[in-house]
Amino acid sequence: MQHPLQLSNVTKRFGSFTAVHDVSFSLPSGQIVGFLGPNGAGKSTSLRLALGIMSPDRGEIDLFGGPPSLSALRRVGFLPEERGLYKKMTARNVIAYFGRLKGLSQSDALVRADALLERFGLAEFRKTRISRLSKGMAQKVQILSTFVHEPDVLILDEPFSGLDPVNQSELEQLIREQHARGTTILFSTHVMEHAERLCDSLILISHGRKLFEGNLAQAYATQDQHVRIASSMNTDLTSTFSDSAYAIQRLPLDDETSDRVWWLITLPNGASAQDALKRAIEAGIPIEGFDPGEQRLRDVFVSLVSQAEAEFGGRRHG
Amino acid sequence: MGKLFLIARREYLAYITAWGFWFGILITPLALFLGLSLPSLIENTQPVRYYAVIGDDGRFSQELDRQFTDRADRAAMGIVEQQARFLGASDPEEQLDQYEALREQGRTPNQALSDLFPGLPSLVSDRDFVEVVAPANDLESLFPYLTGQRTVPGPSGNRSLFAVFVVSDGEVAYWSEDVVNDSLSGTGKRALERMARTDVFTAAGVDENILQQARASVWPMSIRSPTALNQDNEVSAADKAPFFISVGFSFLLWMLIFSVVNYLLTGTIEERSNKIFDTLLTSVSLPQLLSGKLIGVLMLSLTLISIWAGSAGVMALAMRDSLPPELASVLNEAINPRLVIPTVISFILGYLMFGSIFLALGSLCDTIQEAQSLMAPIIIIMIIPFVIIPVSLANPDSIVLSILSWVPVLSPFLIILRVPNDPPLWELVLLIVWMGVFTALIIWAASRVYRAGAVHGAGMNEVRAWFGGLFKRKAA
Repeated sequence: MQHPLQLSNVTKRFGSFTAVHDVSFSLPSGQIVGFLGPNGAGKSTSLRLALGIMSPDRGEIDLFGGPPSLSALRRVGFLPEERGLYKKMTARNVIAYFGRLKGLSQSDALVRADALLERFGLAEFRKTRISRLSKGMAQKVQILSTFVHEPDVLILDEPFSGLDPVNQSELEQLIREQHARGTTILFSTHVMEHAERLCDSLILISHGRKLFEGNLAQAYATQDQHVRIASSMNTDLTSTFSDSAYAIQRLPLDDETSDRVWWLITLPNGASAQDALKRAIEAGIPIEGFDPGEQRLRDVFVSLVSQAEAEFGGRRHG
Repeated sequence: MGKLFLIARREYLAYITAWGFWFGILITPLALFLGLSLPSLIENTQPVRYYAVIGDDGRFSQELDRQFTDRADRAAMGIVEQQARFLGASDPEEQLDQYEALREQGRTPNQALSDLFPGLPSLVSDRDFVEVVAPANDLESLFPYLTGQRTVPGPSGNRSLFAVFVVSDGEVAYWSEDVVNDSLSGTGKRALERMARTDVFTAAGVDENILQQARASVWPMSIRSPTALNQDNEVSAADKAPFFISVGFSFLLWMLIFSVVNYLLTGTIEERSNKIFDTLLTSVSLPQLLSGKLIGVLMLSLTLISIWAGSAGVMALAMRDSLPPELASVLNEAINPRLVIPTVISFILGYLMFGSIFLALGSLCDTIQEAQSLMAPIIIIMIIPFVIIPVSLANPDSIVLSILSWVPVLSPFLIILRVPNDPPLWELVLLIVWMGVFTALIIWAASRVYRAGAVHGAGMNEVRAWFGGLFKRKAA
């Protein structure tokens, strides 16, 4: 698998503050990769390093087979986290201008700007100045200006922030369309639902360090899996599961008048929720409730970031 | 090159399409015209003010009146001489005789001027101080008239008294509520001096008519120079033109540089506050961005110069047959390569020097307010040439001017002022080279600051911390 972008042991310090510490990751060609991390994790700095906006203190960055150069960057579209456009330019001209800076001819840039504005419902605003557009529309124009030159790699820093749910959904659609065109996409977010819906693989960083790189299934596998089974009050599941790799724990009653009790069962590696349910049924337990404990990326995120906080918190200075 | 052009083009179009730019083009000559004509306009529109004289036997009043009349005549005769020379139609002496004849017929100075030169506007201010009969003979009773509580009748209606002269034995007291204006009191002093002179000469047996003959027989003095352009070496406007033009160019340069570099400041602040840098820096390099912006605004200022110079050229062409020869020689000097070449070089280097500084400042600021606090030291530097330029006209050989012209931030404005004095060519070339080297240094330093602001987001806090560190190190 080709990797249009690869970071190897990259470190960036600002004075005594280490913004990015020994980070390595690669961007598999044709994939949508989520770049996750809490606020201040070092996501934006990593992306700016990847694009050559700033230079690393240590490590190597490889963009299309070499260090980030303007010719390599022609094949990249970048949406920065802090957004802004020339307020006095019209929507059409601003898209065409950024297209021209990426190497399009004047006529191509204008034709593509018109087509993009038409496609995303902004045709009537093509001659409107950015200062007169709503915030959401201006943001849309900026997003369009990042792929007017049809880049091979799209790097989007927090693309969903500031957008309403309708525009978020439109942007998701847009990302899928670009992906279908063969574009490799890396986008940073701290909204896990977007990553779960869109990403083929994930990179999680916190405290300037990479905590995880892999696909969703691998992310879930970093956490213990649980199921919850409810039985009648006088039934004890402990013996059913205690002789195996399962761990079981009786949960406190939600309600004193309840006639059933919930049990939290931690699954061993390789076991599924169905395996636990089958074992309880085979033991003749009268099942009164079952919760397969579907895993969420949010839990993986919180768990890994908390671990990083415990391990690296306070170690970015000095 | 293509990207540099795109950045420069965007900058250029952003300002050239703004109404403020065109408004500035129109308003600047208007402001210049007003600035030049306002002082005389203010003087000419001064309302007539009344004064009274008490305790006088009439002699002091007469002498005051003569002073006013003489002053108006001197101004009018100066105009007669100028007009006669500019029009080149007749001998100035003949015109002056005609003026005196008209005055003897009872025409006022302005009436005599318009008789001689029909269509000429009133150039001599009318009497702005008129004597009226004192409404009382003691000073205390006159106080309400001096403080505006009471008025006296006069040729311009009822008005309060501007001043009262109290004449007593061997002394004259001047009373007025206006303690700043010394025009009338000064005229009073000159009247007293003349009276004293006449008294002394009369006591010595010299007749008043002899005194007048003596004044009239003063030898004329011609002003000549070995380098004067006229065949008889008499200094004309053409000889003075390089000095006036160099001062004009220097002012123009100052005005032009500091009006266009503001575009760079505000444009960069806009890019920083609108967070455009990151988007741009994935398409162009930092030096391309910096140079593109400098070139774009340079083109804008060249457009500005072309429009001003073009308009001036068209006006000069249209009026070429009616231009006075002196004015034509001044205009010729404005296109003399000896002045134009150093001016163009100074403009380009001065623009690059101050433009880079303003770009760097803009990259550190999110708002104009922030920029203003950083600009304070630059503004002080900017004021220095403004103060030096007018003084240099009277003292073009000053050693201070020569030394200051080597201070790089002042060089662009002061080199031009030295050119009419024909400094050695090697010194001029060395000055330009030095200015070029310093400009390169400034661009290098500014690009580092620009990188800190645009790439690393350095701002006012970092500037404060830097200055704080500087003082701490000094204190240590």
